Amino acid sequence: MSGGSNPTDHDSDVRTVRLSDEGRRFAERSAVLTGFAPYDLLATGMADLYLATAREQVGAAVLDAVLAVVDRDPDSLSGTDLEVARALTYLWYTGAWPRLAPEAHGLLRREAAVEFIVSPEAYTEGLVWRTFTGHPAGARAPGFATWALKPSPLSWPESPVPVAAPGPLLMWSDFPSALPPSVFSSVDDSPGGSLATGSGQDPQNSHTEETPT
Amino acid sequence: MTTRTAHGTVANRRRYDVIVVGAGIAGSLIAKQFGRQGWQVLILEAGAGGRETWEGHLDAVATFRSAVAKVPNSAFRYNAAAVSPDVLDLAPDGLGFTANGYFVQNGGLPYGTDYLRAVGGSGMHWLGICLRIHPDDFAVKTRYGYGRDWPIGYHDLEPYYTAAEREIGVAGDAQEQRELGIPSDPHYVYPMHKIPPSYLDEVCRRLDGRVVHDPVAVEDFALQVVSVPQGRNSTPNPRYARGLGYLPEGAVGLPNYGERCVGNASCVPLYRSVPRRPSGRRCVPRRSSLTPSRSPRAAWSPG
Repeated sequence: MSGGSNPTDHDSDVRTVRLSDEGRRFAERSAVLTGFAPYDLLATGMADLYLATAREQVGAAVLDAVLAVVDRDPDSLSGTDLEVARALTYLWYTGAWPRLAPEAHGLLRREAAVEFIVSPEAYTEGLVWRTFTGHPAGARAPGFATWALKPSPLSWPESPVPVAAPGPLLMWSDFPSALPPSVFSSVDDSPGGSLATGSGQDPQNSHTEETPT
Repeated sequence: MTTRTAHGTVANRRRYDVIVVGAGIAGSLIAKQFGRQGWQVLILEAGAGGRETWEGHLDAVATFRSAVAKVPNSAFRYNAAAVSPDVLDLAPDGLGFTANGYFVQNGGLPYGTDYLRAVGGSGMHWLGICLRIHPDDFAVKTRYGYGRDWPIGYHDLEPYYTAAEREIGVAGDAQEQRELGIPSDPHYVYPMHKIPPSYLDEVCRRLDGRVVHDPVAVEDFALQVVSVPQGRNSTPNPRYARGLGYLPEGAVGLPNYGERCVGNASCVPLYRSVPRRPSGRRCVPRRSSLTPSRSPRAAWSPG
């Protein structure tokens, strides 16, 4: 990570690599998005990778602007910024960068991407497993026969951050086509998507000309 | 009995007593049986192997974790030389589903899951349901006046069921099966104790005794909730084989604390030919053709 890690020379042979400053800052700002403390987010070991992924996907300028709004007044997020904030939250929870709503791709001037898992470790470090005392399949088996026990009461998130009722991150049509609608019967697939219309009213969208490579 | 992997030209230089086509669970067990008798056996398999090594196992795990949609074949890399049917090939077309992958399917009732063309076959992600067929089903004409009777009966197959349950390491409750009308030696127990029912299983047990109407049979039936014998990782039953016990391939752990094989709950335990009691057991999985991936498998049905 460029400029982030601060190797400290104690002497010519011993170096201590610390958490990167920008990774720590990213985790602090992600706390309000995820409801998890910065410590827990850093403990996933994924902060730097997620930061780099988000930069690559939406561009550094857009990302910085979104995180600034998250810092200042998350309730005021709207339009593409809200979509990016949701994508960041999705990333922390699942280890996957989602496919953004088509409108967001247009405003960000980026080609529509498909959802992808950022790294094999990202999948196992997803916060989602902790929210229901679950275990990522293929990573950690629960103790034998513990499946017979009544699940313990949920303790996460301990103090959920109130957010204005969000629309769906993905619409039904975005899900793998093999899955029947009944699988997602609880998912709101109402047309209109998750993006606010009239995005020109949002000053944050002035960053959308940024097209990083 | 030694096992070697070779490509066509190498395999072609030798003569064999038997050639088995397909290294799935059936072909593997048949080859094992021949090999035990000292025969030279060639198994032909179109798909790839590699997961019998630690590196291959780690690659399968990383491949699974990297898949956005976790389906049964997610742990296995795409192989253009031996393409596998994939549930993600299915697309709704308004009336039913179409698929244009390895299977071309049209219509309302497609084959709705994966199978795997690889060494080990779909046994690599098999759910492991191991039901013996009910004796009545061999004689539906005689018993119910429709269809045809089988030319053989349940008792002709019973010794083979027993042998298969040993090879697969089936976990189950034989007494419960006998009460359902599946006969076995009154002393018979499955190689492994039945898998403890989940919390949700017990919630569903409320359905026990509920009367439902079967519109096809035009009859009412009372539901009976029972467990299903499964070739999945459980705890060996020391009473198996009249006290000889059961030790799966790759078993680890203390004998008094399960001595289960090393995989996840979804791993198919394989029978190690000679049961033996522990003596400095190694804590690494032993090589075998069917257990190494230990990839999680999912019941996947698109409706």
